[in-house]
Amino acid sequence: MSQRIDLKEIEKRAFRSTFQDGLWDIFLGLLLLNMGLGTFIGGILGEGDDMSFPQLALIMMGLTAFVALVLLGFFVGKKFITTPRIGRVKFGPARKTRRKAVILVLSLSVLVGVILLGLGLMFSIAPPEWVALGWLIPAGAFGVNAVVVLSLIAYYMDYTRAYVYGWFYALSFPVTILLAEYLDITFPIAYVVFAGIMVLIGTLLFIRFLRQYPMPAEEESHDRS
Amino acid sequence: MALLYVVESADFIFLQRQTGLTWGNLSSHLTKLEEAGYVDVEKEFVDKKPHTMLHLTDQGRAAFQEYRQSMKQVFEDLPE
Repeated sequence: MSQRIDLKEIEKRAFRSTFQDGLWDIFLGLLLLNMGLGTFIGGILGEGDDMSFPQLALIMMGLTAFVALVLLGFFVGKKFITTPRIGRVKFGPARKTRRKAVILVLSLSVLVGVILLGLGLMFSIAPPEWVALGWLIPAGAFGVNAVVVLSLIAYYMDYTRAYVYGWFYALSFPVTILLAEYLDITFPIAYVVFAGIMVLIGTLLFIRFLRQYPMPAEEESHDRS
Repeated sequence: MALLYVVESADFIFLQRQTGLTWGNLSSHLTKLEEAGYVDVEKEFVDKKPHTMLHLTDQGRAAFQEYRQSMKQVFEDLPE
């Protein structure tokens, strides 16, 4: 039995405990659902070239507000529900380096996302005849981006479920296009199913977390001094 | 000690959750470690409320490393 491996395990276990509240799962699930909502509303109101600017702006504002609300819920949940229950911890320099790597990966991912959005808008403004399947190009690129980013996050953050979530993100967009093209199903069922699984896992973990870690008694929550 | 060795610092609740010790038990352990100079208490304010973070001192880290070495030696010296 190696003592070195044990220490690594202790550190990993301590770090993983910050993910056992399920809030990351719920957050990522709702973000995916938000993307599905965007696709669905866009589909109802017509293609990009038929949509008036106020309509497009209204949709974008609505979706942004939804993301802001989800983000707010995530931070409020972490601050007022998770931290008081599991306590505060500052991890060592190795974890801080990993965190910086994750921030870099996320920044690059946003850059790739903006490029893909631009590509998508180009298709919306001047749709070629093969537009429906043409969407598979940015969809595929988005998928690769999602798998790479979430896998790197999973690796750097020891958040193993993110490997699977990367594939959920990657498959939602192309599956929705293929279902619309070949089976005429415009409802973004892939988004709803994948996001639903993530939110369900998160909710179950959250309930388990609340049961496992009740709020500490008054004497415990105070300083020892 | 092992938990504080692998993190920079942690508060009392985090240590309690991770170790599974009761409040009184952990408090007693930490007091002894503090008296031995192995653990240091760091006072800070979080949302304008006083908060205590604990971390291993250099002396505590050295003592824990020494303990690891001696335990490793014990296991290596055990017959097959």
